[in-house]
Amino acid sequence: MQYAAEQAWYMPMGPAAAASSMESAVARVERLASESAVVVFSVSSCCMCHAVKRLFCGMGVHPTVHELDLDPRGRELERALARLVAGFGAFGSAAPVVPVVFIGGRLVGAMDRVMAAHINGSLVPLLKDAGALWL
Amino acid sequence: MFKRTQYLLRGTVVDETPRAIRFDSVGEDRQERRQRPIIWELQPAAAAYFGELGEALIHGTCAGVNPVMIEAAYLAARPPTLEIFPSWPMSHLQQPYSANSQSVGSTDSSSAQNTMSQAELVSPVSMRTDCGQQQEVLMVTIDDYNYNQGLGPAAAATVTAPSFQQHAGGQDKRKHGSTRKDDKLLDPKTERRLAQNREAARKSRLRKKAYVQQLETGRIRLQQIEQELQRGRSQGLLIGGCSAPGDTSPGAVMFDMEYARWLDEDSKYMIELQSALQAHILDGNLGTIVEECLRHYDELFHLRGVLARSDVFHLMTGMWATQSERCFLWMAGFRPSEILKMLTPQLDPLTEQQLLGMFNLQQSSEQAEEALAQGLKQLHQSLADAVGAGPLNDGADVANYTSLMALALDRLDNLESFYREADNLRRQTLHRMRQILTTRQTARCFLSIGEYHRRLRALSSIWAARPRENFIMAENVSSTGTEFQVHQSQQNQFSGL
Repeated sequence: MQYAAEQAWYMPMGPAAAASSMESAVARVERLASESAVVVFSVSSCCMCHAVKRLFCGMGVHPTVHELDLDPRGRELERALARLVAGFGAFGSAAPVVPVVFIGGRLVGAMDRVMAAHINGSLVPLLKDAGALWL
Repeated sequence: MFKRTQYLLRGTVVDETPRAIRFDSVGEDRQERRQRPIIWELQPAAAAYFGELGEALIHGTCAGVNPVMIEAAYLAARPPTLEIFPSWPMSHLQQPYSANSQSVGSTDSSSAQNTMSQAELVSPVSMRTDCGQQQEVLMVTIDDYNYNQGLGPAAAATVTAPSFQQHAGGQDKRKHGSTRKDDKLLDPKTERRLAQNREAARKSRLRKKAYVQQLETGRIRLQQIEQELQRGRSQGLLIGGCSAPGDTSPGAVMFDMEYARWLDEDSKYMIELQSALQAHILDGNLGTIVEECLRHYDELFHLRGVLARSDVFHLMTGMWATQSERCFLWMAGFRPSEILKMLTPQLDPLTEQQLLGMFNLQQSSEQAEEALAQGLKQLHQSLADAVGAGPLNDGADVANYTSLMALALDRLDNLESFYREADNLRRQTLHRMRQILTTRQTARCFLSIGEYHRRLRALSSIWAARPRENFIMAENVSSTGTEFQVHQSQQNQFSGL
């Protein structure tokens, strides 16, 4: 499991930095999601996120985790994620947005979707296709 | 509405003496009817059933002693709840009334006079009806009782006035009736007093009616509760014995009721499945039943979701379950991988594909269970950290205390999501099982799951009913004892756990 080094985004790099800071939250989410085979957006204090991480580790997958509370632009990302996930029939409006899982750049959803996919037997092929699992 | 009320009121009359006023005997013999006027005539105290009993009793005793009077006093001495209003025809009351009107001078019959005028109130009504007099009388007075006990006297008076009009064709007719008879006696003061007495009588009638209705509803409720208890006991579910003191949140109570109903329906589905399997019906029909079973389980998970939102502790602690079930709860329910382990050997003729599917299902559910358990463990840890934060033995620092509690409350909110995920896992497992297996096999699975839980519940009641004094003797008894037989068969089931 790798924790993305968020501070790297804040090193002054001139025009490149300015360009990346103009990037919308949704675009950033999509970019981050496609950077790795398995991407998990989480909050460090959230226990459900911990459960998702444990699930992947138990399967032998190493997801890239982005902790939104440790990211200065985390709030925007959270809002963007909420909009993305809302169309997926999440449990309830009061439920927290995280964890959100992307596999192979495509949105899978929150914990309930991930578990449903795993029980259905569709998660493993998805992981294999994304190259996160070999066996 | 009227008929029902009539029934209620009739039901409360208890026959204590031969002279009891029986409301339910419409065909009273003429002799009794003839006898009553005598009572009315000689003992004005008997008329006190319309109003204040005690006062009348006092006046009755002043009138002198004779056998009839004693009997009337006995009648008067009966509890007021039994004698509500007369059901005899009022025509004969003209006579005694006029007889009494002569003795108006004596103070002891003044109240009697008032009560007689109250009888008068009812009499014009009954006189107008040819048949079903009794019902008429009842209906008239029942109209009074259509209102709650909480009504003040003024309201009662204003409200009963129109009701009398409704039935009797005008209250003024009554007033005319009474003035017609009392032309000698009624001056404004007396009229006012009569009216007050009438109101007092109405109030007391209302109170009696309310009391009777309370008793009736209490009785019906008690019957319902007893029925529920019996039904629950027959299913091996211990109701009432397993609810903790602080466990009576409305969500919990409602869930308990709904769950009891769900169990009822579940047993019906089990019977249906059993008979369908034995009858070797077509796969299509069996499939319908299996789908219904699946939907039934979905309903249960929905109920549990609602409970998790309103009272997660009730769900968590398993207070809705029997004691033995509680021992084997995993996240407030069954553990999917254990159920699968139990089911797979019973489904012996499985194809390779099915075998693989079941194995994968078992493995993935185990992984999911492990992940959820880990997450829950972390939640417990963070909750403990939140509650134990700050100095514990220094004396409570109020400002920090509230923020501390707020944080702990926040963490508590996450509990609900874990139990919902666990239910989601169970639901997905059942649906996946349906996909892998044939209809017949799925039916057998549902039957097995249902039977397993039923046995677990039965174990609770058997355990609760075991003879405790003979505990030492029972240990030495060979395994022919029923408890031990059940215990051993259960042990085979529990081996997979």
